[in-house]
Amino acid sequence: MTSINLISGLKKNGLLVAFAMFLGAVALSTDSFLSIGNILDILRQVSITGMIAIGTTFVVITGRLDLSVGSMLTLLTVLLVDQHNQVGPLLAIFLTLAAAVGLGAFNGLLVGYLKLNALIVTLAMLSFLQGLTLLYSGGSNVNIPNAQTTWFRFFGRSDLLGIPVPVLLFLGVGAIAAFVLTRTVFGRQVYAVGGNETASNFSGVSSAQTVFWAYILSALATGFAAIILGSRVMGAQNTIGQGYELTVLAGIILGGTSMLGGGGSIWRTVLGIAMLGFIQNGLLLMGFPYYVQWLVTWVVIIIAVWVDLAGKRGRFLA
Amino acid sequence: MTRNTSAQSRHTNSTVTWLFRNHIWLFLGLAIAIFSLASPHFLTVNNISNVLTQGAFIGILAVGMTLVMIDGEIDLSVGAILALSTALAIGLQEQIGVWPAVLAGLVSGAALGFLNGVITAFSGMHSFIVTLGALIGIRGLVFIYTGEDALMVQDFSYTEYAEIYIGPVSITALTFFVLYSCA
Repeated sequence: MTSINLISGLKKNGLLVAFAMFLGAVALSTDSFLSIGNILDILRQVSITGMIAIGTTFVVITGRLDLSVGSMLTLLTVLLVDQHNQVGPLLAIFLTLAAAVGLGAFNGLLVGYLKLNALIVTLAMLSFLQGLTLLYSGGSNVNIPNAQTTWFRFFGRSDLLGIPVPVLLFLGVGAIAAFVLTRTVFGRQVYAVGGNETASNFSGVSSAQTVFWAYILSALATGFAAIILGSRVMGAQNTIGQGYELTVLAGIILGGTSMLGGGGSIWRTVLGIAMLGFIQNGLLLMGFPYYVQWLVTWVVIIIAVWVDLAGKRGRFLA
Repeated sequence: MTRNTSAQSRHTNSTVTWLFRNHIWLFLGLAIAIFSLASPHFLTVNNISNVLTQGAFIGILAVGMTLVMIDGEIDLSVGAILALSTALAIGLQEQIGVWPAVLAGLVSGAALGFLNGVITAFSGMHSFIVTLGALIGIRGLVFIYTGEDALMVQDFSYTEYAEIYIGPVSITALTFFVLYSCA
């Protein structure tokens, strides 16, 4: 009985097994891979994409998409860094988070209340925010001149109890998000809307409202990510967040959160994002050229999702 | 006489319905009208010909993607495949000659499309996931192949083809129209 449970458990969490095998393989071929220092480095590297992905997971579980997070990260980071120099860190952070909520509300309004297609709305938002960033910055890079002295460096550059602050923020926000998703009414509504929108509407759950708030959370998480990124880089280019939306989605998908909505979790997203980080780091430590990691990411996404799907339906082919 | 009018009104009616359904033409007409009034250079043969040529690249991609989207699927990897095919079509010219290299570019595009199609059809995965993975991976392939250098055309007989114009219409725009009519 236990062995059957074990096998079905392994089938359901094939990703974990694959991940453990990968970790083992890299750990055997390099000696620094599984050191505490390296693991903390990896977590710090993924903390920005991870932070965004935690918020976007809410949107994906409602069965929607958010492709706008990458250029939103660009705009928010440029805004934050520029305002830091003009009105000081505290007000700049406040402004950035307010802007994030506003942008998320706009996405949520269009997708949730007006029922427009999420892919198209957020794709349009992606270009719109790119344009807005360029209009705001006038095309020039911004940086923080007093990078060594401002307390703003706390978010991206300092350690607390030997753990980098970005990692603490990433895992802390992850824990809060996991709590919200699994233990609150709103969390259950997110699953309900993603699982069966019509049924949830008939049960008195407003899908429009749930989707609206999910987009706000996605944007708010992007705002947090902008704070870490801005503090880490102490500057911002007009392309700083380009492509983040793809890494974020890749991590969420790799974690096993369904694109069709209704299933998934925060820990899966954290695992998926961490896996991308470990793959990247492991391949570099093993001496592969940088871009090989993208190729491997492709193969890993296909295999992980296919195996996950095959395990669920009990057959390999569709 | 009455019959004639009613037929005519039915005719206008169907035109209006058609425009309502395909309102993109209204937006296009509006955009052309506004920009013609805003700039004296907009509604010139030269500019229109330029716009057609520039639009044709996206247009050619869109013709193929339309077939995918009618199936209810999506292909996010077209940009990456465009990059790889272009890199191969130019990068291989020195080794195997201009036309074989162009053929290699086309074949690589078709092969990657075939791979995406096979994976999507046989795995039952959402095409969004399949082609998102492909986008990331193929972009990696492009960088590995080019070694992050820009590739330059050495044999300029190749670039002359893009300069062929029939009247004001470039061969690029023409390719788009021909593909559009075929599809």
